[in-house]
Amino acid sequence: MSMDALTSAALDSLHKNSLPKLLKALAELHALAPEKRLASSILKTTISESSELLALVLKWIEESSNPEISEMSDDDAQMLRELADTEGTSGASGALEASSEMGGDTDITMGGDTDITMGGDTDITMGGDTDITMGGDTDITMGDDTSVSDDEAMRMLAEMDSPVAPAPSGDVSDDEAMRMLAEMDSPVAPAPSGEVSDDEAMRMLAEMDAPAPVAPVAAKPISAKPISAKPATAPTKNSADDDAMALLASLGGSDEASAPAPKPTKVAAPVHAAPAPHGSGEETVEGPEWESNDFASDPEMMNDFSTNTADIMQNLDDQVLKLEQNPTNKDTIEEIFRAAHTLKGAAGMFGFRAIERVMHRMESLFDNVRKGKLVANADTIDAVFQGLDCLKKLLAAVLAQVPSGMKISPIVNMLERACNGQPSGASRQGADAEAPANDAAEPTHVAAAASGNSDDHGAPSGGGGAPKKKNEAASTIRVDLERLDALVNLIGELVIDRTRFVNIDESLRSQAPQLKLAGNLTETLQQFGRHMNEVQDIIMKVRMVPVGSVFNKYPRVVRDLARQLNKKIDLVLFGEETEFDKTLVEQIADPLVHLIRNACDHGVETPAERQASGKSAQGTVTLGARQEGNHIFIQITDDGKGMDVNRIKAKGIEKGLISADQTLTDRDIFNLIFEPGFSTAEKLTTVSGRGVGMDVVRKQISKLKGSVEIASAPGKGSTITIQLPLTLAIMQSLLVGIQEEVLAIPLNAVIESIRIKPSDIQTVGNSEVIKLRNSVLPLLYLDDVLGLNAKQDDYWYRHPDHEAKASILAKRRQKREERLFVVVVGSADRRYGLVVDALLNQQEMVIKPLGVLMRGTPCVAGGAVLGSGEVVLVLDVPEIENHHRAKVRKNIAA
Amino acid sequence: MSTDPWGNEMGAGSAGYAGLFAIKKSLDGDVSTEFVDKQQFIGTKIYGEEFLLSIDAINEIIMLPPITYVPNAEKYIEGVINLRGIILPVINLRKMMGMPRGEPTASTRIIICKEENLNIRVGLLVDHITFVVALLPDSVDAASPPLSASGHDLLSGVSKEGARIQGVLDLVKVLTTAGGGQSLNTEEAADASEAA
Repeated sequence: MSMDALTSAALDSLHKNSLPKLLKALAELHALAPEKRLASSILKTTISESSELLALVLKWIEESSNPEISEMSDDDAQMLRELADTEGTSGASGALEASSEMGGDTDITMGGDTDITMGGDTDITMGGDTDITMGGDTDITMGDDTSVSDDEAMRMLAEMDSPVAPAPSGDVSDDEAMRMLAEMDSPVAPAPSGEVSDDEAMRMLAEMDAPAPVAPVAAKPISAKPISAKPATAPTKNSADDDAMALLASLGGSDEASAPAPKPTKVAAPVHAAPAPHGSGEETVEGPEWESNDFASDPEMMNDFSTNTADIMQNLDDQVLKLEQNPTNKDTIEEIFRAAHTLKGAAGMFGFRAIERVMHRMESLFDNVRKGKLVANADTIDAVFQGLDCLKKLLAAVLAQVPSGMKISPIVNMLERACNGQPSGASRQGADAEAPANDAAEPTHVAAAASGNSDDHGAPSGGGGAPKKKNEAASTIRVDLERLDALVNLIGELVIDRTRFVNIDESLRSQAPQLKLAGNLTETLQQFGRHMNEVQDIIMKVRMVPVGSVFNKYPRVVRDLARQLNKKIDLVLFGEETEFDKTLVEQIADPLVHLIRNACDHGVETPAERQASGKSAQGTVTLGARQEGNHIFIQITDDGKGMDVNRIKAKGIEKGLISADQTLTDRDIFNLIFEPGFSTAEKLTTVSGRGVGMDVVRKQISKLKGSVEIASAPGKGSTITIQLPLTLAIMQSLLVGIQEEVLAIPLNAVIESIRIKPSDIQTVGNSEVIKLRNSVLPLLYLDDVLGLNAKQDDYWYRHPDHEAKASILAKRRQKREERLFVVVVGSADRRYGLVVDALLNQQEMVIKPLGVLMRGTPCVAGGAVLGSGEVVLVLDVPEIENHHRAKVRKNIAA
Repeated sequence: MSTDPWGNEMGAGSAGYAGLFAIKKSLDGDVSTEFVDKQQFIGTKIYGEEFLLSIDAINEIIMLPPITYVPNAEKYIEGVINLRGIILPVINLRKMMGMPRGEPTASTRIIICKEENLNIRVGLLVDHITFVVALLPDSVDAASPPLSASGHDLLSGVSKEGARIQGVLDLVKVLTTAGGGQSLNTEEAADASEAA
């Protein structure tokens, strides 16, 4: 009740004192500048309108103090508010125009300092744009919400007063309007629009009063003008309490101190009456931090958003730093502007209003910088960085799915000031520098209060969520992948060095067993080895990422495909948390898309077909990953029609890939699918059927040192299994001796090594096999496959040291009559034995490419440098079999 | 613009590694202001024949390390070597020029070259390194490579400086031949794709 009385007293005084004064001031102004008749008349109309409204409001307050009437007058109140607001706003826009006009006047009278701020050049823009937008938008907003409760309405009104706060509906247009306002250069412009915070108005007042105390008359009407709009809404805020008054007093006081204007307190007081509840900390409404929409609820899109924004933020940080060093660099400014714009757009699309708002201010600031209206000095950069920090918090909140509860208005105001501040002359520099400095301290306070105090607006969770996220962020760093790779490579070299040490140690112990130092060395080396293993483990983990980051793309792919193909397909994912090497994860993405598209297009049938064959209309494609030892298995399964072995075979014969009389296993036939140009699809679709794809898939997978298998049952579906090594950088390899060569076989391809007698070998047709535990194992002689016998002709420059080693190996070779070593390689269901002369060692090695000229070399995956400094070739096991087959085929043909 | 063996760009006029100036002196001691770029070459011997190789592309010259034989490689490739952790193929120039089989001797060297445009690093096996020679451009005759000398298709010209005529080896031609007729563009593309 006392509150109401207070409000009514304030309004009364406004009605009876301020407005007439305003009119008087106007008259004086009119006398000073008679040519601005139009502006004056608008102002006059507005003031009288305001006066009427005030009277209405006063009456209403009197009525509302009667509980009965107030209970039932919700609608009335609403209407009144609507009216008040509309009027207020249109009045305000009129005032805007008028005050700008007056700004022109002030120019003349005051001269000097305030000229630029108030300058007439911007008048036209302001008059036109704001008039229309503000008037129109507010109308709509209010109209839409006619049925909201009192509280709602109050909140809305509060929001209207705050520059940041969006109205619950009509956000975009609101924002648009704000943007337009922000684009205007004059800091005065936003004030009369009734949307600018009172701090802003206050500051403006101070600014006007301080440098130009000689023109208080001119200054006052201008600043008083917004009051006419605001008090109209003020009465509806019953929360304008003593706190507010206290705040006002203090603000007024400080104002007085900084700007000894004649009656600053009095002028300021009404201005603050309206926003006071907002600033008092009790009301935390700033509008929703974000709105839910389709994009925001899509985890995949969110993921994209977060990765993109992380990059953009990083980029912004870097570029702004660059800008600080070189404030005139056009490229940097353009880059920043683009980044800011992108982020704003993305945030807008996802409905993250708070981010959008802050970003929007940044954008306009950079726009000014870009257009050369603003020079980025240290203050500007500070403001920008604070804005960026605020954005980071908001983004973290978005990722945590918990509103941060942060207040962005201080940041927004600060940015706005930074954006607008600069067009002032050099003489205002001091005041300008002071203002941001004060503000710089403020946002941190507010932010701290917001997250610490747990306001009554969903902040308990927000307060807990935001700092936690921040801690998480602090415990991860982004590392340049190139640097990481360099580290991985170096560690690989270190591993090799360790091997070298071990070799030296061994020979030291065998040659000088009496040396005590050798024992020490051995001990130290063992310790070194343990540490090395740990380092290696860690560095391998560093490169590991969950495969889910790729998998999450596919539900969308399947959804789109299903719609396109008029099928019902459900994608089931499992094992997304399986981790493997980042390079692998990235490079497997495209082959997987091919395979999934194939599963959807060729595999899963149309709903009608499915029902005809007794299946549910909805097909299921399963995509999963699992780790087994040093391998990753990725499996794509569909429950579709499966593959027709006979059809593939017929097609293979038609294409000349196989001959009709060839006996082939189903597996061999399925493998035909991976041949270039192979397709059994009768018609081409946009999805698949051109016969490119599967061969690319296989090529890509074997490039990653993996293999791919197909299993299929007609009518039941197909399963494609991709086997990949866990990591690419360091490989365990088995060193084997064959003739006088040492070769490395990647251990991931090795199933076991056995020793056989020549008499164990049996022949089936042309090929030699052995019986290994109930299965038949075909044998390949490694020297035959590789054609090592040609070495005598091809290899001329034999290093002198090489002889000794070669002779040792040759000796072993002579024992071939007694025993043979067989390295069983291949995949689980398709093995073969490689006959070698000796099993030498098992070693970790870094596989390196042999260079461009060696690209075409068959059966060789790369080279590795041994501890001795010599190069060993690393065999490409899957290719050995293919190469052998091709050779046999050629021989048969010849 | 030329580049020195370490890939640094050198201005045409700078007294760089490859560009020596021949300052023409008249008899009465006047130094003429006319400067001419000289090119430096390394002289090598392959099966007794002398060849010149422009120093621009040469990184270093090393003694014969153990070469690892690579089965089924292109036929002019002797094998691969380890150069401080990098694995490089070695081209047997004797074989490429159709000369008789050679044995390693104490003077056998491998010239490590890098062709910048193709981004190929390779070792060239030669029997002997003789000297470094600086030649004026007009003493290298690009127009008249011998028609039937061994390896003439690897030459970019002949030097007629002094009494002897020496073939000037063209690294790009050597690499093209070693690449087994693969077009250089595809190699480059393949290389780029691998790098990516």
